[in-house]
Amino acid sequence: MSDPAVYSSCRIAAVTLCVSTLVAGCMTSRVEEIRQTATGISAGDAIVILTRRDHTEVEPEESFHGCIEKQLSKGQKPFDLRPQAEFVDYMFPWFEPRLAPATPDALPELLKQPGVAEKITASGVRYIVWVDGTTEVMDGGGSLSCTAGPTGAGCFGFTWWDKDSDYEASIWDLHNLESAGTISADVEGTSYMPAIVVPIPLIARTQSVACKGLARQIERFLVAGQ
Amino acid sequence: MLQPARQGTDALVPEPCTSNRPGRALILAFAVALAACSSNISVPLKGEFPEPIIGALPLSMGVLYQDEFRTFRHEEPDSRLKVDLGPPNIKLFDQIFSKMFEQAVPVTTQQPGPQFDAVVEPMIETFEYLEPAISGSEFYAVTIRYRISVYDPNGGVIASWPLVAYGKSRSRAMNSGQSLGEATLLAMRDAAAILSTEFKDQKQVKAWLLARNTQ
Repeated sequence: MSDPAVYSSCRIAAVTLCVSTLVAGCMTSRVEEIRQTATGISAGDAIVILTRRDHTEVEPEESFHGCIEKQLSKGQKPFDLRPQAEFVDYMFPWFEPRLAPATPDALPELLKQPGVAEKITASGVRYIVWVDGTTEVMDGGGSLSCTAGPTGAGCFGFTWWDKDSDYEASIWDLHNLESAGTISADVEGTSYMPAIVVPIPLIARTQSVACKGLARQIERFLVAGQ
Repeated sequence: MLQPARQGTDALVPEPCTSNRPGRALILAFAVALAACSSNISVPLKGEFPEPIIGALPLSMGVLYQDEFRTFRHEEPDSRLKVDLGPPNIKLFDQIFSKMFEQAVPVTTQQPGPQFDAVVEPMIETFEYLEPAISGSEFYAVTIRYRISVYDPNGGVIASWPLVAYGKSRSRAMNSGQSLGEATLLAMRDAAAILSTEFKDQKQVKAWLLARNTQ
């Protein structure tokens, strides 16, 4: 017979694994990288993460931008990050939605504007990382109803929904005035909410997974160099 | 006003027990919440505008703000949000004009005299916003249509053109005023960006500058 204590701890581990798998939901994740030039970070090189804020209905969530910044500013060798709002104000009006360069080809023209090149040099920013994309609910179904009465309240039913977090980071090198490469993260996941008296949300955190995947790849991309 | 009526009913109604007090407090809180919902909310337009990185044109300009511009207020008939655009716009344009021109001096007339090269006058023609509930998006969207006019020192029109600025801000639960305020400020920044970078390229202004040999 096996030791009951070992059996018990194995059972706890198995339950924990099942619960964590369920809580994480079902997700598929894909991170891709296209490198165009060699990169590298020297002492004094700063980077800025900017979200595309053009006048369309889609733009990255503030929480996603904050997550990328947080991921890149921690770790063993954190990057010297310039906050987005500070940089956009500092470079006003050249990074406003209407005037921000859409492609790296527009950088030489931008740097010809009076004072712009000097300000960028003074800021120490070597790389601009443009983040674009969003998280959308693609599909869903099921039904869940809740009732409340004098004796108590409860819910019954089952719902599910699919989310797709699709983001892209374009990395521009301000020293060479060219695109260094592009990294994309696409995470799809299904969340479930069964309810027997109490609803139990089993959420697929696609945005968080996309953020961590994208940030990790940006870090490798900039540091690895080749 | 209410006290005599209460005194009058006290004789008929038994003294309420203390357990009714939370109920009264709830009713009072509900009434206060209702009153807050029915009163107007002034959209916050606070914040500093950054100084633009632009080269100043070698011009001595008079800057004219008419009273309609100074006190421009937008109120929707079926909304409790009101937007006071005058003061923040004056702050913004003062800052922009002081960087766009070598000299920018407030004036009160379109004919300020020969000491000025010209007079520039911004006006707000329309202010519109779209709520997420109507647009179906997650954003408050604001469009401000300005008119920028440039006059010679005798009041003759050199140029006058519309400037349409746009701003959007993600909707926040229970704080529509803040979202609308942010979208409005972004639209004003958009206006400043367009004006400061495209002023000298505006067709009639460009012709006037060429004629003056000022570029």
